[in-house]
Amino acid sequence: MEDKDFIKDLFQEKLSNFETPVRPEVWSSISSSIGATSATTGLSFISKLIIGTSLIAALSAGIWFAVSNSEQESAPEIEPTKTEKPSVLKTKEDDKNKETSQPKFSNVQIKSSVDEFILLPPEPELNIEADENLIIANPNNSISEAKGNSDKENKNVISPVEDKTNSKTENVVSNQKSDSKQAPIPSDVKISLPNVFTPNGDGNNDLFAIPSIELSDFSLVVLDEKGKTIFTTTNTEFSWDGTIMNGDKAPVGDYVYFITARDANGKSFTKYSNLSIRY
Amino acid sequence: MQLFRNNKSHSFRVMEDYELVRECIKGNSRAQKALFDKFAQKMFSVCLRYMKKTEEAEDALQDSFVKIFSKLPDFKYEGVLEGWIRRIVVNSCLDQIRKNSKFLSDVQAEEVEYKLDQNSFIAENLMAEDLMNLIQRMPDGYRIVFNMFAIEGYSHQEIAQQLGITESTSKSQYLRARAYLRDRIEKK
Repeated sequence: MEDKDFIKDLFQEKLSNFETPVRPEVWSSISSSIGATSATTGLSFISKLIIGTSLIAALSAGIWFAVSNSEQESAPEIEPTKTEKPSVLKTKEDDKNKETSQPKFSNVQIKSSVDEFILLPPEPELNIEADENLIIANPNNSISEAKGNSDKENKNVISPVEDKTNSKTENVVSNQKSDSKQAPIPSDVKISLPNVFTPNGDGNNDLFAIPSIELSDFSLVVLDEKGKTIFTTTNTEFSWDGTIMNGDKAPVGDYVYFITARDANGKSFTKYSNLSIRY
Repeated sequence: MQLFRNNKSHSFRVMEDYELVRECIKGNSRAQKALFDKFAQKMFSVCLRYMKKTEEAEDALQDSFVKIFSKLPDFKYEGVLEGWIRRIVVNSCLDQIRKNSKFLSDVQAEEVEYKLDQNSFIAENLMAEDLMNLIQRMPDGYRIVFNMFAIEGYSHQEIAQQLGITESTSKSQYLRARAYLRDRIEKK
């Protein structure tokens, strides 16, 4: 397209007045740091009241979590079957439970021997919102959260979702267990995961790489549609030109890749995304 | 920044804003909230364009408004309040980015990629959200210069000063950013 500055005009027009909703909490912390505490109006008294109430609610929720967490910690049984390979294989068949199977993917990956990735079925539906899926974790957990006081369930499942709300010490505990086949803790790490590249040598998006952020114990595996590993690396600085094991370029198609790593705080996490290769 | 000088009701709105500023300086917390409500959403979008991550953007927004309220007494009652606020917001974002460093270090880009889905290929149909998404996926070096030049309307000279780079770097980063975006928008 003949542009001169079509791009500039487009972005300026659409974005200079673009609005994104802001969480009310942001104002709360701003107002407290500018010392807008001396309420001059009834209105702000009400809002204070609301803030106060929600604080109390949050506090009590926090206490509740703390209590239920310590219950968990003292509960000796951590569902062991979840992490065993046979169950991973099972998930191949049981398509209906895709969501429940997600944490199991991560179990496999945290053990992080590359071979085991081959066990994973290629998942066409991974495409959807690949970035954050793993954090969402499985429905069991949310049910147990929702049910709240059903102690039994809470004891059975040390779930990723709950881990998010836990204190660091809890995470440390789980991290240590991760060697003994404990579920990994999805963290809040946000990486923007590329989902397409074109290794055709035209100088344009020829390499596949992950934007550098501080990660350790990094490993990445690219699988083709049949679930076959076609590329793997443990170097965060890698860039892949699409060459596969036999020296050919990977054929056009849809792939999926998995990353396991620890973030700057040492938290393990797993992420995946689809990857389409075009020429 | 002529960008924000438009519309007939302009002078009325300016007076309204000035009044709001005066009330805020008096410590009227209702006015402070009103000022925040008036600009927060727009400024949050600005932060999101610079910061990528939502939490970082929230931090930047928060910093910005704390600064804005503390600097309000210095406001000269010239020009448009929004422009003044936006400058502070952009500066806060740049400060944060500098703090997180990495700044302008990963400029060799073509690697990070976000594909628009099929039906959004035609520029006319591009929604602001798609464009936000594209911007947020851009490598830092491109993104910041592009934001400052194309959307905030800074000159390359100003950008160079702000970022501690040369004017020609700013220009070339912008051109590369534009090519990057054009590529994503027009082809796929």
